[in-house]
Formats: sequence, structure tokens, C-alpha cells
Amino acid sequence: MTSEEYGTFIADYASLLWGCGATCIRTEKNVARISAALGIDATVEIMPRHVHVILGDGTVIVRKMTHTGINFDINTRLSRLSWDLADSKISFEEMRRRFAEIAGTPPTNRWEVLGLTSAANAAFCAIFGGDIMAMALVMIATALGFRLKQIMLSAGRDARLTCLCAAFFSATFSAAGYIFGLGATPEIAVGTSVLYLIPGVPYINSVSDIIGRHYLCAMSRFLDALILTCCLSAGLASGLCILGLKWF
Amino acid sequence: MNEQMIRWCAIVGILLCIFITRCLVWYFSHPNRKARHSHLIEIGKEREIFFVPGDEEDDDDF
Amino acid sequence: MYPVILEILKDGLLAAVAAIGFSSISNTPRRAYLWCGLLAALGHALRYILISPHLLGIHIIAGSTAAAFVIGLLGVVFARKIHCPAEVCFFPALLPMIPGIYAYRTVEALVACLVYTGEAVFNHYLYLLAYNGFTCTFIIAGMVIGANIPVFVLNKLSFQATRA
Repeated sequence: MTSEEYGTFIADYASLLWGCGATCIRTEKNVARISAALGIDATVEIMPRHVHVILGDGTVIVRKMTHTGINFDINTRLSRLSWDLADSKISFEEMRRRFAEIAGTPPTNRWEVLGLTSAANAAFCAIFGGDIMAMALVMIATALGFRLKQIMLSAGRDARLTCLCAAFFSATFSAAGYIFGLGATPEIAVGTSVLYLIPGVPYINSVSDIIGRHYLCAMSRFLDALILTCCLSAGLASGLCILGLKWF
Repeated sequence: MNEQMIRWCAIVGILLCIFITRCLVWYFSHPNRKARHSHLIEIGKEREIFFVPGDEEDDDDF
Repeated sequence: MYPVILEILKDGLLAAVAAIGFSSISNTPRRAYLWCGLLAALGHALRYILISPHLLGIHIIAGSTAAAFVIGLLGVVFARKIHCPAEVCFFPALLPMIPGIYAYRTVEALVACLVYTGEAVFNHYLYLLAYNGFTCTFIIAGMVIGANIPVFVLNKLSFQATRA
């Protein structure tokens, strides 16, 4: 096995690990652990769209970041993989095989996610003081919007457009509280109906990266999250505008 | 029914249309459709009625 | 006395449901659901106690930071138990505390600033923009710093959680 093959694997590994939403610190630590176990000198440079692995002999291997969306399952299993190699429980060949297996993991069942997210947003509505009617509206609005998001993302539509459309329809649906006079807290229903679209994990990740002094990645993740928030606000505002409601 | 309600119904209607269209498209383009015999109404042949397992397939009646 | 305890419990329970649901979007491993929910419930209930005006009445930024610190601390401990990285354990628990409403009110105030040009109204929305923006940013920053302190202090423990 040449060091270049090791380096290529490390680049693929770092690309997938970062892409599934691991912090830069974790990516660096895991890569350092793997290269120590393989006995090679590899430095990893993480950029928002590419990862560079520089080997001791000056070879540079560049990989595009894999964008799988946030996936904690892959994150967990990749971290586990690095420890298994470091504790010499598995060989490099076995690791490569398992890596391919992990990269092909299907996401959580979409209906399960749909149900849990709807329930979560309804619970959120209750935290903000919404009554039972508002909760019901938010639950249905979330289910409709989230299903639309799933459909659009699986059809390969842009994440920002998806966010805008989902926010538009969710906000419009939940505005039924105002329009048909349902419940006592229609404003809370409208306000919470789009919160499932807030990219919470990228926001948290960006601050984690700042703590690790990976400012470029932090900025990139923060701006991604901010733009999604802008899109969802635009969707919400346009929905309420069309209905002729004042949004705050 | 005032204007706001009409607009609301129109927007929610569009969304439901998207879902229904998608369901239909999925239903009719599914690869296993033939195997599932999903057509409620279809034009069959006589020999499908009189067919007994073991019969010879002789489609070349020209 | 009892209604207050009931309110706190309700807050925790709802936060747990919210955390599990929002974490499922990020493909959290199923074995982590229960612990994420538990962490979120503890953290959010603690924050409720800290920031409610009729209880302790601490400022929302300080309250969120303190609650996140507790979540981070417990997260590192639980992570070892379920063999997940610490952030897999406590990020979902932080999600219900993300000030989403502040975040999009900021953007809406920005839009309103562009729409309304009269000085008085503009100033009002500029005030809303700055207020919501600052609050949102510092709540998130405080939360993440609070939750990450235990990760770095207990470095050895938190980065070895997935070691079998």
C-alpha cells in the first residue's frame, strides 16, 4: 500500500466527515488519529468547498467536500471507524470497505422524520404559548411544508429555493388561524410554523468552528445558515403579504 | 367567504395539487406496476379468461 | 407552588419532543434519541427556571449559556454511554434553544427597513433589526460556548466517546 493510497483515503474520509456536519476540530482530530495509525505524515487543510491532504513527500491530494446534509449517524460511525483503526482492531482494507458501506448509508426513514418533525414543531408552538388549535395548525403546516421540502430536495432542487417554498406554504397554511378565526393565538401559530426550517446545526457548528479558530469554515457555515434564514423569512413574508396580513 | 379566504384556499389548493399530482405520477410510473396489476379498468384478451396454466403460448395467429 | 413545578415539567417535556423531532432531520442514530430528549428536557427546564421573570429572572443570554453548559457537561458523560461523539449527543438538545424567532424577525426587520422610508418608522425597524440581531447572535454564541466548555475541559473523555 503506497502512502498516496493512504492519502487519498484520508481525503475522502475528511471530505465525507466534514460534509455530514462534523466540526473542523473533530475532522482534524480524526484525520490525525488515522494518519498516526497508518504511520504516515499527513496534514489536512479544510476549506469550505475542498479538502487538501498534504503528504510528507509533498504530494497534495484535493477532494471536493461531499454534501450529504447534516448526518449525525455517518458522523458517529466515521468517528468509530477511526478509533477502530487506531486501536488496530481492523486493517486498512477492512476500513476502506467499511467506509464505502458508511458512505452509502440510506438516511433515516422519511416518514419517520416527517412525523417526528411535525410533532416537534407543534411542541415548539406550545413552548411559545400557543393553544391547542395553534398546535394543530402548526403540526399540519409543518407536515405539508416538510413533505414539500423532501420532495423538492429529492428532485435535486436548490436548497434555498426549497426553503423559500416550504416557508411560504407553511406560513400560509398556518395563517388559517387569522383568516378563519381559529384559536386564540394565531400569531404564535404563524410565527412557529416555519421554525423547523431554521438551520440550527449549521449555526451551532459555525460557532464551534470559531472556537477552533477555523474562521473560514465558520464564516461559510454561518453564511449558509444565514441565507437559508433569509429565504425562509422571504417565504413567510411573501405568504403573509399575499394574504394581506401584517407580519408583525 | 371573503377575498382572504379565497386566496388562502387557492394557495393551499396549489399545494395539495402538487401532492396529488406527485402521488399519481409515482403511482403510474412505478416499475412494479405491471406486476401489481394496478389497473382498475383495462382491456384484456379472451385467452386470459380461458387460459389454463400449462397451455401453449401461440401468439402467432397470422 | 405546584403549578410552577407543573409548568417546568411541561416545558421540559415539550422541549424533549422538539429536540427529538428536530434531531431526526439530522439523521441522529436512533439509540441517541432518548438521551437527546432527556438532555433537552433538563436543559430547557433549567433555562425556563433561570429566565422566567417570576422565578429567577436572569437575562436570556446568560440563562441560555448556563443551561447549555449543563447540557454540554451531561452530553459528554452520556456520549460515552451511547458511543456517540459528544456533539451528536448535545447538539440536538441545544436545538430547542436556538432563537429561531429572533433570527427571522431580524431579517423581517431588515426587509421592513427597506420598505418603510419615513424616519420614525425606519428608526423603529432599525431598532428591531439591531435588537433581534444582537440577541439572536449572542444567544447562539453563548449557548455554543457554554456547551463547548465541557468538551474542551474534558477533552480526553469527549473525543474518545466513540472508542469501542
